[in-house]
Amino acid sequence: MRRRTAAATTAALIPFALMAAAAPALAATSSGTATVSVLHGVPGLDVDVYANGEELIAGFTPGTLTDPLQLPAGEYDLAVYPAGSDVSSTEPAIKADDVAVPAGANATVVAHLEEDGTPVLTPFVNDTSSVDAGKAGLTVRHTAAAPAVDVRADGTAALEGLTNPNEASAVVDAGTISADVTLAGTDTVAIGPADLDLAEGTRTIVYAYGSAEDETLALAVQKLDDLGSAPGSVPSGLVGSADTAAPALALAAGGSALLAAAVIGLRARRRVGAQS
Amino acid sequence: MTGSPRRSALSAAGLAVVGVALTSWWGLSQPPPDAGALAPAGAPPATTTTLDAGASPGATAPVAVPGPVLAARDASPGAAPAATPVVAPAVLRGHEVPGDVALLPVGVSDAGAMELPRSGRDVGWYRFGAAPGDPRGSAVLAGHVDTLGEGPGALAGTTRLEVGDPLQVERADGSLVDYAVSARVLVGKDELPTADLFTRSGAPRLVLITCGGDWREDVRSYDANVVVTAEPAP
Repeated sequence: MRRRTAAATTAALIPFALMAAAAPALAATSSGTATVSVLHGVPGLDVDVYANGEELIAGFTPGTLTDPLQLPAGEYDLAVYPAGSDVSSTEPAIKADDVAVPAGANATVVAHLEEDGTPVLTPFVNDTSSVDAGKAGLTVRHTAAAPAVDVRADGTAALEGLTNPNEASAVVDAGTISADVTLAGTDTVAIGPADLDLAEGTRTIVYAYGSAEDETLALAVQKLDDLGSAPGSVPSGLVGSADTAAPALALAAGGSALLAAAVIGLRARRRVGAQS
Repeated sequence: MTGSPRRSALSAAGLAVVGVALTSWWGLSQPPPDAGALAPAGAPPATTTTLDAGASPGATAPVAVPGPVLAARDASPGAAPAATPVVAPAVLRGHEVPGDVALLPVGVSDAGAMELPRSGRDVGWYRFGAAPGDPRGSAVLAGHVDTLGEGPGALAGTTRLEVGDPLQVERADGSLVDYAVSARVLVGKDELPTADLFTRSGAPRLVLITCGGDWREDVRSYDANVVVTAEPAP
């Protein structure tokens, strides 16, 4: 599995290495790579995304998430334009300079609205640590033009008081939940419900995005797989009948009995011998 | 005086019989020496696909199109492709297994251990891992070696399995998966290599686990596990 990862990483880097040769602006400013996904969370606008002056995503539609990309670690100037724009003569809809992409990190860059509706780009670092056996990780990120919210799982508040642009996490029993988002402290449902399959050994990230005022609030889901752990033990015996230690006493007892038998036999023979 | 040699002879004979019986019991109760040796799960089968539902967290998916343009997928809940349905195992049979043994899907206890069916007559299949017949990963089956009031469990005989012995799993859809034992070892509880035995990657294999070794009355548990690995029969 590790061998396959290394090969795929190299394959993914090759296009960017070629691009770096053609456009030095995209070259890394520090060594190492990071895994980056991009989520389009601004409703109503198809966009093109540029990184360090090079086109990264064309015709990006709202509510879609890119496949993860291996990027050289470093700082990136990101710009989001209406799809099909001539970037030499168009102002970007969203711009973020010096977005840090640290080596070894797994991150999702989200184009979204701030609470007041301003479009912005926010990088979130993703937790890729292992999850305990039988469990699943759940992270919710508030990236919507909306006030504070609670996240409910099967009707019960799981994460409370979440504000833009923050996240909250929990580790839960693996399984499917019906999730919805309510205005904080109320039962007023803002988004959902939606079924979420929180598979064992995975981490699921849910994004609330869109605009409350424009009634475009929605959920987006990102899943990180293969983060499971094995159970710690297999306790599989209750009454000791298969014990292999007790018969050691049998050996001791048996040996003693045989020794005693030999001694008695010898003494008996000696007595008989003495009589004759 | 005249009776004592006969009494002595009888005592000696009686003690000898008892001695032989106890010593034999000890000999027959010893765990057999390990058969084969536990090896880590083998390399996964070769695959030509690069975008895999079970891929590592983002680290293996290559850029789908050469050049700068990334593919993007619908991220709405429910848009993700459904996971491949799992065919659960239903029955275990084979050498040293008493007839057809029911396999029940089990998970994790509150203490983070593998759950087991209450009855020693049933055997649990770890439902978060591979299933028998899957193309990769270790399918783990475990059961109590003994329980109160039931005597030896269905896996009690596994301590006598030898390399090459046959095992078979019948799946819920009626299909059969045949295995041959590759190792049967006694491992101290604290040394059980759980990460490898429960791995979901690597070559497909069957793993049977039950308790063995010495019974520790102070903690009411055995101090070792009997672990059997078996590989799909060609």
